[in-house]
Amino acid sequence: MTPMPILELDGLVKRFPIKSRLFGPKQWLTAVNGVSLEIRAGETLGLVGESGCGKSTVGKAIMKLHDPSDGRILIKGKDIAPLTRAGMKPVWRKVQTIFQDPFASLNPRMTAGAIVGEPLTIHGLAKGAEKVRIVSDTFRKVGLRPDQMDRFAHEFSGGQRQRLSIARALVVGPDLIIADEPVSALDVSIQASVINLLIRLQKEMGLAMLFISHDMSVVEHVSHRVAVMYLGRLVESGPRDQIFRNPQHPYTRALLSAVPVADPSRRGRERIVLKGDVPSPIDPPSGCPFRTRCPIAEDVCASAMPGVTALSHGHGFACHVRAREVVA
Amino acid sequence: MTDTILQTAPGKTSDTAEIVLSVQNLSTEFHSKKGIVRAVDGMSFDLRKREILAIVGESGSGKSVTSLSIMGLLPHPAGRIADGRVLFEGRDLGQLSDRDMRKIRGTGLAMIFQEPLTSLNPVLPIGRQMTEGIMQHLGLGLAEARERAIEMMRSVSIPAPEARLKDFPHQYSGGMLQRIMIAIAMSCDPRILIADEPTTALDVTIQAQILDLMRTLRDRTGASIVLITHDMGVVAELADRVIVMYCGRKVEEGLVEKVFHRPRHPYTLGLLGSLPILGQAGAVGDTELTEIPGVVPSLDALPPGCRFSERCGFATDRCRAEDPPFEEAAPGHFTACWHSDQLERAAR
Repeated sequence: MTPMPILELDGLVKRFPIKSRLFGPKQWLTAVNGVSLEIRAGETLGLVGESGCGKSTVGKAIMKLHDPSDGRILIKGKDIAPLTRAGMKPVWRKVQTIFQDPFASLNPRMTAGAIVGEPLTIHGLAKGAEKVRIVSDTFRKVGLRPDQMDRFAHEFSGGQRQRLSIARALVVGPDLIIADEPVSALDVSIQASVINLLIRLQKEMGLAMLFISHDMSVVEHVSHRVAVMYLGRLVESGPRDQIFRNPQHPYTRALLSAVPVADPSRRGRERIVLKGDVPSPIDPPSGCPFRTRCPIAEDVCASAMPGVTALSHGHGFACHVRAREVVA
Repeated sequence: MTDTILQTAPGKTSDTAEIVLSVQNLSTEFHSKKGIVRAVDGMSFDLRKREILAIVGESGSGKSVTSLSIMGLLPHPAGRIADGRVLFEGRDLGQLSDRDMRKIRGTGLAMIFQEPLTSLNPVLPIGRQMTEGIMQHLGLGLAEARERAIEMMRSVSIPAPEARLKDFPHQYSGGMLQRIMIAIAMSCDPRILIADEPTTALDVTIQAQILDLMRTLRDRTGASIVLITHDMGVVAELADRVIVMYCGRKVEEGLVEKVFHRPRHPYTLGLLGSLPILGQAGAVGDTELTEIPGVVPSLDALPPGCRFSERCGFATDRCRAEDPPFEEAAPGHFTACWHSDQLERAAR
């Protein structure tokens, strides 16, 4: 039997109200529009898409930093969408986040040891010598030295600061890590060590991880499964190798072909260069959200939102035209 | 104003005549709280007509300071060119008056910056910002300049350019603004375009559009491009030749194919190994990315000898004592490393 997913999203929707003209109709920005996915223990799901596609909002909704507008968020089978802040406290112990900017997400007035130890106090897990022991163990685990516990965040380099963020997330023994662009702010030579560390820890501790990123090469390297978002919707998801070697949705294909590859001998490869920009999520196109930039769009794409076509191994995509070609 | 020797020097070969920009032993210093730091230290390179030359490096490598030094746009008075010179079509830019330099910016040298929103004036319509330079540099009247602006906007795929001239920067998307920046930079047909991280803030599908556009502009107008970037992928996609910088100096230089397939400096080798390459991932956790240990040293606390020695797996006592010279390791392929011959085994 397959174990219960650590995280399950079922039709997650997040709408933000936006200011509109006096007496005008109230306008809504739909950042996430019916996203369903699941992550099991020991599994990394890469959530990719370009800026404004809603991938970070998904992460924030799971943490309930944004209240979901609709849909269910199940953590180990329990729906947390209706929970209050007090009800969320035990959930926050099980779900931890690593943010993009290690300069902004660490308190400059606390020592490194205090930053990493704080979640232990908040959740009443340890104090005194026991707390010091757990914190120094965690320091070692992420490749920092326990004698660095008395230093302040600004005394650490960018890569070390991101290690501190990882230590702070791991110290309470979470089941799920939400990593939102965890290496995007780091220099290339530093990125590699943080990526290696995340993969190693995820494997050792059997964590479920939601890895949110715009960088397709990094996502391919770290993820077991991948979900691709466009304008608030999932357009394709499935096992990593299916998404990267056998992409079905025209957006996934374009996204992959647009990635600059650090190998000049692949320069001549065929590329799909999309025209135009992502439409505004305040006024999304009718039907398929991708149709305004899609190289294979037809009339039907403007009239109806495509359903999910399921292939083998849990690989699915949402495209009218490709669905017909796959079936034929 | 004296035009410099190169232009009138006798016995020049047609090879050297093709050089449009020559940076010679450039050093740029900044005053900081900790004293004077040298952000660029003895940088030299030639840019040929129609060539796309990439300068790649991490933060603090001096790549952006190099471009600002060339453009004469160093922050004043903190930064200054301490040594060396920049020859644009044989003329020493350091000897030019502000007025002459202004003339060269636009039709001679144009620059694209990373952040289009901070480089454009938020309270002026896009049309005004486009026509201003065109009128100034090409001496056109308003109506002609407007025509030219529309034509340039069309060439960078801005839909309905006539209608969008009156829009302000905030009414454009980030990708469109970067295209506008390119349109402005190219509107006076510059012979050289300096692009400092032109696609860093952009999404990958928009980035592909901009890279295509820069390639097309080179092919169509014969302009030369200096591409400043931290992204090895962008270098591999666009550049003919590449210079790798580390701590204010060149560590490697050569044709892109040569440098990527047979790097001759451990830093270049490390940078390439630290990148996951699309389509080459094995099972998750099976292959580790190469880590470059340590951090980039601060410019006021550089190690003796080779500046990369503290982080280098190949370093020996010699590296920690003596600065390696920047030498030709293979035809047209230069590096500053005592052990470049040993890299062969490590190369992929």
